[in-house]
Amino acid sequence: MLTIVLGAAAFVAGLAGAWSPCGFSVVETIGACRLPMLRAASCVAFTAGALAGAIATFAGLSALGGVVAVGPAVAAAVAVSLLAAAAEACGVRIVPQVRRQVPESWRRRLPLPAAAGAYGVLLGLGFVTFVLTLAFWALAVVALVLGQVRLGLALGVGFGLGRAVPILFLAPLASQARGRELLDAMAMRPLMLRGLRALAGAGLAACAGALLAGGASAAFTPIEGTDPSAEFGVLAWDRPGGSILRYSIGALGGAAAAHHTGPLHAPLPGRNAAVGDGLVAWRVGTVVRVVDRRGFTPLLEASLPGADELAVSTRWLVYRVTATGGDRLVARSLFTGREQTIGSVEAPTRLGRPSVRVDLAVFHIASTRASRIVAVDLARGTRRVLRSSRTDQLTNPSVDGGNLVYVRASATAQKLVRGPLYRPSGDRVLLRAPPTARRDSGYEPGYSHHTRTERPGRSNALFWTTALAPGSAYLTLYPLRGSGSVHVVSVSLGAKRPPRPGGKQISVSAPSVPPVLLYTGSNPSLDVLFALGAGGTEEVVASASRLEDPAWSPDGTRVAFAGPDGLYVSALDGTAPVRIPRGRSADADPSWSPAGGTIAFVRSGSIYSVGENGSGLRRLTSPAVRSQEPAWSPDGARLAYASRRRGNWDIYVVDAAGRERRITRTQAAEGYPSWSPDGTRLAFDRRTKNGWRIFVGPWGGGSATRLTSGPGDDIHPAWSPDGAHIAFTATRDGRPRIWRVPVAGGRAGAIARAPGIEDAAAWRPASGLR
Amino acid sequence: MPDRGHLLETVAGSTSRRGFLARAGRLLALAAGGAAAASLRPEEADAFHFCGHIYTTDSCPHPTGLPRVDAHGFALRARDGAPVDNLGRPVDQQGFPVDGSGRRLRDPEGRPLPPAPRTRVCREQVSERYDLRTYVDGSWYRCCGGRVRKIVDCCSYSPTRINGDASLPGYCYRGRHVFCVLYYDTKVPC
Repeated sequence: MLTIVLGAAAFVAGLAGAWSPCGFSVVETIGACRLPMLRAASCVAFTAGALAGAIATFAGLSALGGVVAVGPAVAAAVAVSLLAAAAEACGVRIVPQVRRQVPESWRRRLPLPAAAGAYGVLLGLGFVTFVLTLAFWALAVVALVLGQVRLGLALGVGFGLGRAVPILFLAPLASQARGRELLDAMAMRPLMLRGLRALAGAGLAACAGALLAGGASAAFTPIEGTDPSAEFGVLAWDRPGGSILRYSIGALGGAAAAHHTGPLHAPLPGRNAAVGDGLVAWRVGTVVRVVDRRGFTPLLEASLPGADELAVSTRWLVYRVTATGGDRLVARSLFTGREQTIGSVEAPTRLGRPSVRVDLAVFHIASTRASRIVAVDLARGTRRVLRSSRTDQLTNPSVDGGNLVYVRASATAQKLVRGPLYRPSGDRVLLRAPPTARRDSGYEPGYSHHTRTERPGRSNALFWTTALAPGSAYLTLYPLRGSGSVHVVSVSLGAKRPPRPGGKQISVSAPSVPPVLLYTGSNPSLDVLFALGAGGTEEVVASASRLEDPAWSPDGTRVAFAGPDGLYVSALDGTAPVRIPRGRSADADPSWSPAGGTIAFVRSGSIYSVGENGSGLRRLTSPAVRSQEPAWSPDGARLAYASRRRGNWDIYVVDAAGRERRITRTQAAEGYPSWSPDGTRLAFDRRTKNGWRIFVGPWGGGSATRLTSGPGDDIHPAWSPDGAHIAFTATRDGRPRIWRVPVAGGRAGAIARAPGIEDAAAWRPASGLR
Repeated sequence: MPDRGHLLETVAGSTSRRGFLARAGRLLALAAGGAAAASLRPEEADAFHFCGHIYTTDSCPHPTGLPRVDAHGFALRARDGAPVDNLGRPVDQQGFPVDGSGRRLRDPEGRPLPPAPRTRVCREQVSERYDLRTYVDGSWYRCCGGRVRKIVDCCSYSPTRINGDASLPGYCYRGRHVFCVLYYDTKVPC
């Protein structure tokens, strides 16, 4: 999206270049050629030159920006875009304005195509000749600060095409009366240029919007707390009241991938939480616990006095022991319980917070003589210095795969750096900030200030602990002065989700007892559909690389669900599920109409309905707004769904005549409507200041009652067929699990025990759980 | 042709700073051409930025700016003489960073922040940053602000100095030239 918007804005900026003296001159020069073939060749050469020049400028700036990448790049790009957009809208005079022109003599000395190509390069470069729009300069700054070559290429192609199109269009007409009139209009009617500049301004504003909507949130997501620890889709960090685990359900591919609630937060009863290789570790007092994240199965519970920092991997728990005389790092095998000291220093030298993946542990050693980042192969017992410096301070490394992220601090800057483990030359700065110490002017009063001394200012925030996961790096920003709170920011690294094995194959088996409730269990490699029997039995009834959002047919004989390549219907009798034709891989949230035969579902942010055989595909909601999570009322007369309007998610109901009604009218986000069996009430989840909670209210609107409370988030309600209970997904015991709460009020409790991330409870019609 | 460095020192020893500037410029203009002379035209020779330093060689890179060091060559904060680490943070005797009242800075868990390297400015920091073998050779004392100050040359065999142009002998020995300059403040009144 951002790429397209930037390219379009650059295109408009390039178009405005036709009004420059050079633009007019090139039109006249190529247009004066009487030979059509030669003229066409010149146009092609000019286009090629303009594209080459523009790509050189913007991709070059992007590459340069990538080398000296700065932290708040998105904020700077947004600010520059908005400022320039306002200036363009007001028609502000172009400053700076390059007042040079292309050399006139070239067209006399060179063959016309060669001259046109050379002119194209100069005009494409943009900064060597007149450009009558501020958008060029603004986009140059955007390319520089964003530092992404892909975006630079888009800008270059857009700007180059923008410069070429007027030439391609006008040059062949230049010698004709129509062309002369057009050129005369361009020259004599400033409103045309003014309109184009306004359009460029709109383009820049759109860039700012796209940056805010996508880039900004992806690049910087402050979380209050400290000491992040991450792996794909899971982040843990410490807060004053204890540690928090955050599950990025969408990233993990769970059933709630399309849910607007985003990540779910689960509390941990301790501190120093660490995640790695599917395990979670935390400390309560001197007791350290390690569990399997899929089922929270305990793997280790040990008293480790003095342990104050943890790291965990499939095979190892690494912890630091801080004592008055010095620090010690110990690795404990999760299989044998054997411990080995992997680092030991005497004060004042300090050991840093460890990070471990599989068998490789990394940590820093900080002394007044040098600063080092060290890796220890725990299986072999070998040790290697990854980075060292006698001038800079290198701290808080984190490892993931073959990459390392760490903090490099000097007298002039703090940097969050990422690079290959064993190749320091590949280091790249992800975030940069001024140092925490104040610098003086570099000269004494009354003496010359012609000094090379840098004076970068001072940052209040210390770059502190880090975490690294595929696609994201995390950093604690710790305010040393002032009243700000310590928080963790994330930096998007642009990596994609690791591929899941399994392809489109779906395995289905018949449950041994009639299920009462279905729900999904999502794991890193596989989604599983679980069936909960009346007696509390649980069994796997289906599995696939993607298996989400189960929905029962009205008669309770079949189930629709979102599969790897669209929606499927299964009788859960061991036979292969049937794919609804013409489905797409992102189709989600099926809901069976009470009359049967029609399924409402979500595709590309709109709600559609389709017959079981793929016929009668119809969009039910406007494509202008995002809508999801459809739920048919029991009588089939209405469809409830969540929709985002004016930036907020609310519950809406549409009837058979297409009349839409807004049900919730709060400033809080609401979603996942579920009808009561009698069709008079709706259950839904709502974001409160203490997390997501389940509410119940009349379907026609009015005050809703909160049903759940406690730590963590409660989402995705499902009303039981007897109307007495609501099942929902809760994170209060460390991971998303299926819970149940009486509608009349009472204690909520967990009802499922499957491994993985449980979600998407679906009651079978005319059944009940005792 | 006279040795330009020696010529400058001779003039410097017997003149005020500003008087010296103009005369040095004239002398250099008279001397043979070259990069050093070109960089010392009278209107550009005003590159001296702390008291006592009368040549044009720039200050050594220093964690806090003004190149004040202690007797061992470690960085001190110019304004109060507080020892600072390579990050420019005031530090205690053990090298832990401290705040304005001398208390150790602490991390969010309450532990002291780890120490950063504290290395000698000329011998280690300049050496590492510019990949040079550096030496603290000679020095010269001057009266500055009522106290005696030692001007210290950070020397090397590099033909260019930190400014990027030709280096001068200054106070350096054994054929070495000044790469950048430091100073050491005494408490001796003058």
